Amino acid sequence: MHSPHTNTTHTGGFTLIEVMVAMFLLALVVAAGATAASSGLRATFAASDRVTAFYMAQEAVEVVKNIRDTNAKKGSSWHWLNGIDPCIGTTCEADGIAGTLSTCSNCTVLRDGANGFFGDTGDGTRFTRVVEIEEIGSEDREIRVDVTMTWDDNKLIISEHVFNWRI
Amino acid sequence: MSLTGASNQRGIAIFYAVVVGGLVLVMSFAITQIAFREVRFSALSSRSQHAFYASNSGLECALYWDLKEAQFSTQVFPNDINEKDIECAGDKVADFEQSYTPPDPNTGSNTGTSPDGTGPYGTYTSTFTVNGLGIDGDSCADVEVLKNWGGSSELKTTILVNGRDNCSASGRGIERSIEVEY
Repeated sequence: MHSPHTNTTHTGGFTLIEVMVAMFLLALVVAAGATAASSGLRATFAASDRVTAFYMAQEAVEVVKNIRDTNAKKGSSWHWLNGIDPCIGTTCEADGIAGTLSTCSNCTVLRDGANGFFGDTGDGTRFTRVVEIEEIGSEDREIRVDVTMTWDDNKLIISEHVFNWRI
Repeated sequence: MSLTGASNQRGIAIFYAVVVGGLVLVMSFAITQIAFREVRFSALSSRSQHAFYASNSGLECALYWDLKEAQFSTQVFPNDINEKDIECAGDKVADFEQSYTPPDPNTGSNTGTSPDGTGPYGTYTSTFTVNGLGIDGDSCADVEVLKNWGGSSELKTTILVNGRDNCSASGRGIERSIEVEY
């Protein structure tokens, strides 16, 4: 009565349940892993966008300082805010290649497909870059440069005070 | 014999599931760890950026008041009667202080009168704080301007600026420093 056949059948039934449990476990773990990895990847892309944004903001500040320095090199008769003054009290965009500022309304950053540079030529990107300049005091001494980067639902602002110290 | 073999096979599917599942979990944990570190790094980098621009603004302020207005003393106080009206970021700078360090006679430094005739050789230090920097005015910069005759006829200026992104008493700040010499 106690035959190996009965035993074999019993083992087979157990394996089916076992496989189901194993599949359930695997599914659970893979789902958890995939969720964690996908949220991790999303965070990585967000971090990379943020780094791109602050380099672009930095570039705009450098454009303003470059214009100030170029004006100083042209001599004392050249006003230090030449090329910067159209942006006082309004919104501007900066072109890092040309080193110029120009007024803009939606201020989307464009990307040149040929060389990959961000600027004001090429196709639209998710980034907008707004340069705002405010004169501090009336002594022709100091300006405040605020660069606001926005992309998706994110925002980054940097603020720099630039002085007329060049002699 | 066959019975024993079947017994040994028991639990092999669960064993594989646990091993594969464990591998998947370890990999996803590693990816998540890297991603969160990147997020932390990018958040810290943007705060560091604010600290750097606070520092840079403080430096611009010091350069203007030195190169254009010559407000940093090369004279022994109270001989220096210049009115200090240093204004930066729309306000008078805070905690303006001046001090003088005579040259060390042991190093053979010149202890005579400085070449501009206004005081002895040595180091003249001016320190101040520029507040109200940054987007919300929370950032600030501590500026130190050193004028040193250093035994030669050339005046050496060193500006050391420490900018912080958050200067409120409660918050922890990130500091970036810039040093300029001319």
